[in-house]
Amino acid sequence: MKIIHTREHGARNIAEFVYGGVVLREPAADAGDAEWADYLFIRENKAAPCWELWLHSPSGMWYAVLRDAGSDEFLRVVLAREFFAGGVLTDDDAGLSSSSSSSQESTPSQS
Amino acid sequence: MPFSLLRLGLRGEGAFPLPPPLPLPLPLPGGGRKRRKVVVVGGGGHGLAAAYYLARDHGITDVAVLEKGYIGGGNTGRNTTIIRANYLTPEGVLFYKESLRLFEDLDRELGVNLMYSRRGHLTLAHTDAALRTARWRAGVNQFLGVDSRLVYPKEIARLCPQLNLSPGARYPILGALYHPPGAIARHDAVAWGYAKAARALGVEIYSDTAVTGVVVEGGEAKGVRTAGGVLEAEKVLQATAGLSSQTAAMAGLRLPITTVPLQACVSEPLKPFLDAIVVSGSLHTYVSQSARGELVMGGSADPAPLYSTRPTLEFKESLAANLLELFPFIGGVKVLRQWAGMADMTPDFSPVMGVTPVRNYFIDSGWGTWGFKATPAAGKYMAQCVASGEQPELLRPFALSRFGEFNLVGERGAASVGH
Ligand SMILES: Cc1cc2nc3c(=O)[nH]c(=O)nc-3n(C[C@H](O)[C@H](O)[C@H](O)COP(=O)(O)OP(=O)(O)OC[C@H]3O[C@@H](n4cnc5c(N)ncnc54)[C@H](O)[C@@H]3O)c2cc1C
Repeated sequence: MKIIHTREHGARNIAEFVYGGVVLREPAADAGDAEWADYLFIRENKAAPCWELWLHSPSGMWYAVLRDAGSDEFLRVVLAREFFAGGVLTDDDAGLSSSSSSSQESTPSQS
Repeated sequence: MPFSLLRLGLRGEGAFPLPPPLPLPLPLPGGGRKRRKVVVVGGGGHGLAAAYYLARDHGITDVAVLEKGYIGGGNTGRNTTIIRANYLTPEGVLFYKESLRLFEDLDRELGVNLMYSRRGHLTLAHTDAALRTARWRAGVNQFLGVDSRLVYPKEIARLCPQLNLSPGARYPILGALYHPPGAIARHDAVAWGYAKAARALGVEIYSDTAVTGVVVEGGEAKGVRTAGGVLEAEKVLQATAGLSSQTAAMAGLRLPITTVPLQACVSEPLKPFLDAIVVSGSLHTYVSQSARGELVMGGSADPAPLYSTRPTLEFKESLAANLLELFPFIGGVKVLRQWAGMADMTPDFSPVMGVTPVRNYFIDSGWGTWGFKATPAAGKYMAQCVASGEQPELLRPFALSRFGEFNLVGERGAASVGH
């Protein structure tokens, strides 16, 4: 059994969490087809840390999780609300906070 | 002892003649010859089949298959070997129907006993929605000449009396999609058979030889990098399943693929009692009984992306709970082995095959949890694609370009649990 640590609920069984996909930057509404296709379908799919969304289903709270798709380690677990408000981002969490181009998946520059 | 038996024994050829041992590891594939017409990256069933058909159908024998581990050690040797053609989309049904046709005659063609065993395939429906999908599939299947129809509990009881058909079950069985040609086979033998037949035609196969880079110049593939140096090639085909995104990245390509573990397990061997292959979408589980009596059991892919072949307790627990709903009497049966493979999942549960934006670089990927049955057809038509440089008609719907055109081939309803 895998245990996930959250500030709000303490140590919880992974079975309480539902995977919600990688965090992507949505293209502007008037973006072209290529950019939308990229956002919808193309994935970096690296064996490396990547920000993802996970739902803690008993509480209904969404988390932003930095998880390593090579080792399955949960490196950081923060409330999605706070994550998107930008409050918890550090310089390492590049990509999402900056208004960088298009729809690249956010993987931290270095791990 | 009959003399002929002794002679066979001394010749050392069993029922599964293995390819002769390969020289491991090589400084440079081919012992110095630095150029091949075609290099195939990945020695799974798909890569080996493509090499075989390149030689047989197109006379291209100057082919090297490079495999980073041992042949058939990827998903080809990890799958639950279900072969069927009862898909949902006309594009999918036509492709898998062709593969099933090739499979039915394959052991004769390759001269290897694949233990191909036609069992009948039941996709159970426990809800009205599942019944509707089953009816839809039966309609598409029948229209395209695939033997497939809806059956109800009375007939299911005849086809598979072992099932718990009680109306009092937690998820009572309302009906099923029945596909008589549904089959299982010996997966390792498929890889070995293609390897043996390809070698007989002159194809070289190197195990323990990882491709570490792709040489691309001016938008055109020129060869691959290995620990022993660059092997030049006129054409390169990648068939690397779970590692598809990583291989494609070496050629500068980004794919609509996510790598997710898919797990399975087998029970201790039991006397033969289960003929049919049984799948339940609602219960996320499927089972068949292999020729050696093991129950081969699996379910949906793991929930999140991961490059790992480590099995989990969660999988075993939920599988056991759901399987007991269908076959309550197997409660005392022990699990013998559990494992995982890395499945290259696409958004529409259909493969990605054919030409790419890089000239002379071809791709056979996106086989996720459903590509074993596709081995012969993917091999044959990818060979045609590589030989001609053009997308064959049968593979047209599965081109990488479909994503940019928002023209997907949605097979989720026929592929997410039953592989
Ligand atoms: C548990 C499980 C159950 C399944 N059940 C079914 C089923 O019932 N029916 C069905 O039809 N399908 C099923 N599948 C899917 C099926 O196994 C695969 O789609 C199919 O085997 C893919 O074949 P392949 O030859 O493309 O890949 P593989 O057999 O994985 O071969 C790819 C090879 O490429 C090699 N490789 C990777 N990178 C490199 C590199 N850089 N250099 C050199 N070599 C490299 C790998 O080592 C590997 O051997 C299942 C899969 C799993 C994991």
